[in-house]
Amino acid sequence: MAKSGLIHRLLCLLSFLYLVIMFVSHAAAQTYFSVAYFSTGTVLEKNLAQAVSKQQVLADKTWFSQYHFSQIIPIIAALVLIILVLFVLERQLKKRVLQKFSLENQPSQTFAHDFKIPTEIIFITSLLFFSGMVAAFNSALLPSLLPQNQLSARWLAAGLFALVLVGGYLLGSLRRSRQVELLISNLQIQIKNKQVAQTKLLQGELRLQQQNASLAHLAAMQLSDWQNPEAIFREIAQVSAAALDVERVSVWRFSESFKQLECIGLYIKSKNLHTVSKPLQAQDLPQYFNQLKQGRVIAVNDVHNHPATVEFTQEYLKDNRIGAMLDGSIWLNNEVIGVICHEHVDGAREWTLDEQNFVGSITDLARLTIEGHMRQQVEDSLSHQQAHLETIVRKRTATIESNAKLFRFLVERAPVSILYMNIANEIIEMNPEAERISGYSREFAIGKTYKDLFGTEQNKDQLNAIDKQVAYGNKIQGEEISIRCADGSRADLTMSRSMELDSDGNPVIISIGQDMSKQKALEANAKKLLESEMRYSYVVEHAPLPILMIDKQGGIIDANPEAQSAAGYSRDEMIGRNFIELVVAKESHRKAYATAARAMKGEDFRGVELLLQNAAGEKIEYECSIGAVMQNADDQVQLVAIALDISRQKTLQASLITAREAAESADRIKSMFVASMSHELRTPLNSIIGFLGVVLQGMSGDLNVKQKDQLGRAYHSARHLLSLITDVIDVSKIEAGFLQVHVEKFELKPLLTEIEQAIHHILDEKNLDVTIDCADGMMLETDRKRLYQVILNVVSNAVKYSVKGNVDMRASINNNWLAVSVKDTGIGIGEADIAKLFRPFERIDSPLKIKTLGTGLGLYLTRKILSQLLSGTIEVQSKLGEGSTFIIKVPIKISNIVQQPTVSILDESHPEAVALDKLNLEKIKLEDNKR
Amino acid sequence: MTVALIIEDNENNLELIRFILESANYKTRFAMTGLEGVQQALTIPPDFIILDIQLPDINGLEVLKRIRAHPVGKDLPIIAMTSYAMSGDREKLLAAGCTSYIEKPIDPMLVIKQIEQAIGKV
Repeated sequence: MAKSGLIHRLLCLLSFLYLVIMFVSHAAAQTYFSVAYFSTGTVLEKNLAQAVSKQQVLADKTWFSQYHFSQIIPIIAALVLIILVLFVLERQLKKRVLQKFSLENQPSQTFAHDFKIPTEIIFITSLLFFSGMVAAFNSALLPSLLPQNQLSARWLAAGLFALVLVGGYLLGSLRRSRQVELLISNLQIQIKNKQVAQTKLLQGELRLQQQNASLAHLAAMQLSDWQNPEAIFREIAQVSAAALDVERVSVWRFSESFKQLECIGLYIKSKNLHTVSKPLQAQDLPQYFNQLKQGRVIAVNDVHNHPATVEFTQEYLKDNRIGAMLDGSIWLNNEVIGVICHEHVDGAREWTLDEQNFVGSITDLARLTIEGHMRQQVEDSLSHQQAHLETIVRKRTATIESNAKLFRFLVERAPVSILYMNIANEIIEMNPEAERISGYSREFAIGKTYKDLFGTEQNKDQLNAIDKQVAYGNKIQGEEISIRCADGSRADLTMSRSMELDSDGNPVIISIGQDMSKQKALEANAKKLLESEMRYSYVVEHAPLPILMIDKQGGIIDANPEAQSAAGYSRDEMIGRNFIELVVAKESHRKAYATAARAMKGEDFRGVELLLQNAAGEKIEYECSIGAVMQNADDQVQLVAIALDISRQKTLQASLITAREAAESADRIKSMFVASMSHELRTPLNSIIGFLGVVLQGMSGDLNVKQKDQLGRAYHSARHLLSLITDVIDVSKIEAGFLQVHVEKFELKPLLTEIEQAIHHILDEKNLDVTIDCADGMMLETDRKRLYQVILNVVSNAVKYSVKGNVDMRASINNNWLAVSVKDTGIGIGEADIAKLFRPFERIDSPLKIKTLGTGLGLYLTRKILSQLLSGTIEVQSKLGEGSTFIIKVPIKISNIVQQPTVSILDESHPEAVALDKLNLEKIKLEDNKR
Repeated sequence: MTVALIIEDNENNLELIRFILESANYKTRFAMTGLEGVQQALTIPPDFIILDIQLPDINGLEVLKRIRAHPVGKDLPIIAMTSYAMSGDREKLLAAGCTSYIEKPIDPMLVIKQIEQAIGKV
C-alpha cells in the first residue's frame, strides 16, 4: 500500500514536471520557433514534435486544420471518459467508506478488504488522465500558442483547464476517500483487537472460576479421605487436566535421596485413563531437577526451546507429542517432595498467569494431601502401638492376676498345711488345711508363735532345732513331727520349712506340713480292700457256677475251677484265649458277640441263653449273666461272665410244655364233645317245644284249664332246658376256641331298643320301667349279635332281680371305648357275693331265689364273650338292697381282632364224627387256619 | 293251593312243620335226605322249600347250592331252618342264595308269618 502510494506520488510529480517542461519548452518554441526534442520523448511527444514541425509548414492554414482536430477530439473524448471513470470510482469509494462507517459496530465483519484494485485503478486512471492532458496540450494547446491562433487557443486552453480542474478535483477526492477508508479500516482493526482482548479476559475469568471450583472440589475431597492418597492424586490429576485442558497430568514424588522421581499417577485425558509412567532419574535431567527445586511453578511454553526441558529425551517428548509443560513443585517442610506435571500435546502453549497460579494451588493441595496422609499414618501407628501396649498390659495384668489366683487357690486347696510366719515365728497366715489339721481357726492362730500353738514337751527340742536351722537359712525337708492340736490330740506331720523373701523383700518363714494320718487311713483302707478281694476270690474260686473274667478284647483273664471243669480246659489253656471262640458254640456266636459288645458299654445282662461247648465238643445250654466291672488300676473295662447250666431245666420245661399241650388238647376235645352233645340234645327239644307250642296255641283243638296249665309248665321247662343247653354250647365253644367274631358296622341305639322290645312282656308283667339314654348316631364296628347277647343278659338279670322301680340303660363313648351301664333298683348284691357273680353255676342266695330261673351260666358267659370275643370288660357296683350297676365296656372298633378257629356244621367234616378223633381234630385246626 | 317241599330228616320236626303249614292251608311234600330233596325240588318244583340244614347225606348248604345251580331252582323261595344257630351260618346261607332263615325252636304262631313274608318277598 505504502509502496504503491509512493509510486503514485512519484508519477504524479513526474507528470507535473513533464507538463511544466512541456509548457516552458512550448513557450520557448513559440518564441524561437524552434522545436525541442526531449530525451524522454514518447510517441505522443514525437507526434507533438512532428506536429510542431508540421506547424511551420502549415502555419497559414486554418486553425481547425492547424489544430489537428482529428487528434484532439479523441483525446478530449478519452479525457472525458477518464473523468467519468474517476467520477464513478469516487462515488463508489465514497459509498464504500460510508458503508464501512455503518459496519463499524460489527466487529465480526472481516476488514481485510482488498484495497489494491481501487488503488491501482486510481493510479492508472490518474496516469491516463495526465497523459491525456499532456497529449491534449501537445496537440491543441501548443499550436494554439502560435500568434495566429490566439483566440481559439484561449478557448481551447480554458476548456482543457476546466477538464484539468474537474479531473484534479476528482483525483483529490479519490485520494482523500482512500485515506479515510484506510483510517476507518485501521480503526476497525483496533476495535476488533480490543474486542478480542476483552473476550480473552472473559475466558480467563471463566478459567479462573473453573480452576477455583476444581480447587474447592479437591479440597473438599481431601478433607474426606486422608486414608487413600492415591485416590486423591488421581482426582487431582483428572480435575486439573479438565481445568487446564491439558492432555496429560501426572503426579510424581521424589525418592528419599532425590535421585529419582517416581510417578504416583498419570492421567491421560483423551483416553480418560489413569496409569503410571516410568521413574525419571536425577542424573538424566539435572537442569529440570534443579528448576524444580528453584521455585513453585515451571511454565514451559515450548518444550523444545526451554533449558529445563531440553534434557528430556526426544522419544519422551515426541512419543507423547508433548509441546508445552506446566510443572508445579510440591513443597513440604522446605523441601521439594514431588511435582505435578501438566503436559500439553501437539504444539506449544502459552501458559497464562492464572493457570500457573492454579498449578501452584494444586501443588499446595497435593502437599496437604501428603501431609494429611502422613499425619494419619503417624496417628494410626500411634493408636496401634497404644492398643498393642494396652493389650500387653492387660495380658500381663491377667497373667499376674491368674497367677495370684492360682497361687491363692493352691494355697487354699492344697492338701498340706501351709503357714507363713515372720522371723519371730509368729503366724501371719495359714491355709484351711492347716486349720483342719490343727483345729485352730485362722483368726485365733494369727499372731501366735508356732511353739505356743503346736509345741509339746516331746517336740520342744525338735522345734527349737528346726527354728535354729531355719534361722541359719537352711531348708528343712521331710522332718517328721508330732504336733499338738487344738483339742489336745496329736497330729503326725511331715514338715518342710524354710525362710524366703516376700515380694517386699522381707524375710518370711514358710512351713509346710503334710498330714500323715490320712496316709495311715489309706493304708488301713487298702488292707480292707485286700480282705474284700480275698473274700470275693474265695467266692469265685468255690462257686458252683462257671465264672470267667474277660478283658476288653474278649480274652479270658481268669477262669474259676468250676469254669475249668465245665469247659474241660485248664486255667492256663484258657487264659488269653477269646472266650467266645473257646467256649461258645457256633450257633450262639452272633448273640455272644453282640451281648459282649453291649456289656462293654456298661449294660448289665442277666439270663442270656447261650449254647456253650466244652473241650469234648458237647453243646450245653447255659443262662449267662454278663456285666462290666472297672479295674481300678488303669480303668480298663473288664467283663465278668457267670454261667448257669440250664439244660436240665430246659428239658423239664419242654416236658412241661408237652404236658400242658396235651392237657389243653384234651380239654378242647372235651369241649368239642360237649358242643356236639348239646346239639344232639337240642334237636329233640325243638320238636318238644314246637309241639307243646302248637298244642298250647290250640291248633290241635281246645284244651281245658288244667291241661293248659300243665302243658304250659312242660313248655317252660323245655324252654329252660333249651337255654341251659344253648349256654353250655356257647361256653364250650368259647373254651374250645370255636367261636368266631363277626364284625359289622351298626348303630347302637336301635340295638338297645331291640333289647327293650325283647324283654317288653316281662316288664309289663313285673310293672317295671326301662329307660334308654343313648345319643343318635353312635356307630360301632364289632359283633352285633354278641354285644346284643351280653347287654340282653345283663338287662334280663336286672329285670329278673328287680321287684319295682326301673332299669336304666346309659351308653357313652369315651376314647374309642363304649360304656353301657345298666342300673337297676333291685335287691343288690353283697360284697362277698360279687366275687362269685361271674363263676359258672354259682347261684347267689337271695330272697328271690325261688322265683328266679336261670342257667347259672349267664354272667359267666357274658364275661367270657366280652373278654374273649369283644375285647371288653364288665364291672359291677352294688350294695345289698340298694340295686346294682353293671358296666359293659367294649372298644368301638375291633377290626384287627385275631379270628379264632371255629367249627361249624356247615364244614365238610362234621364235628360229631370227628370229635373224639384227635388226629382229625388236628386236621380241622389246620384247615381252619388255612381259611 | 301253594305247595311246600319240606326237606327234614327228623320225623318229629317234619311232622311239626307239616302240621303247622297244613293248618295254614298249605299243601306239603317232604324229603328226608338232601339228595332226595334236590331231586324233588328240580323235577316237581314246589312253590317254596323249607330246608333243614342238618341232614344225613349232604348238608343243607350243599342242597341249597345244587338247587340254585339249576335253572328250575334258580328263583325258588327257599327258607332255611336250623337249630344249630352259629353266628356266621346265617351269612353263609344267605350268601348261597337262601331266601329266608328261621331259627329253631320255631314259634308256631310266628313261623307262618315268617314264611309268608319270605314268599311274598319273592
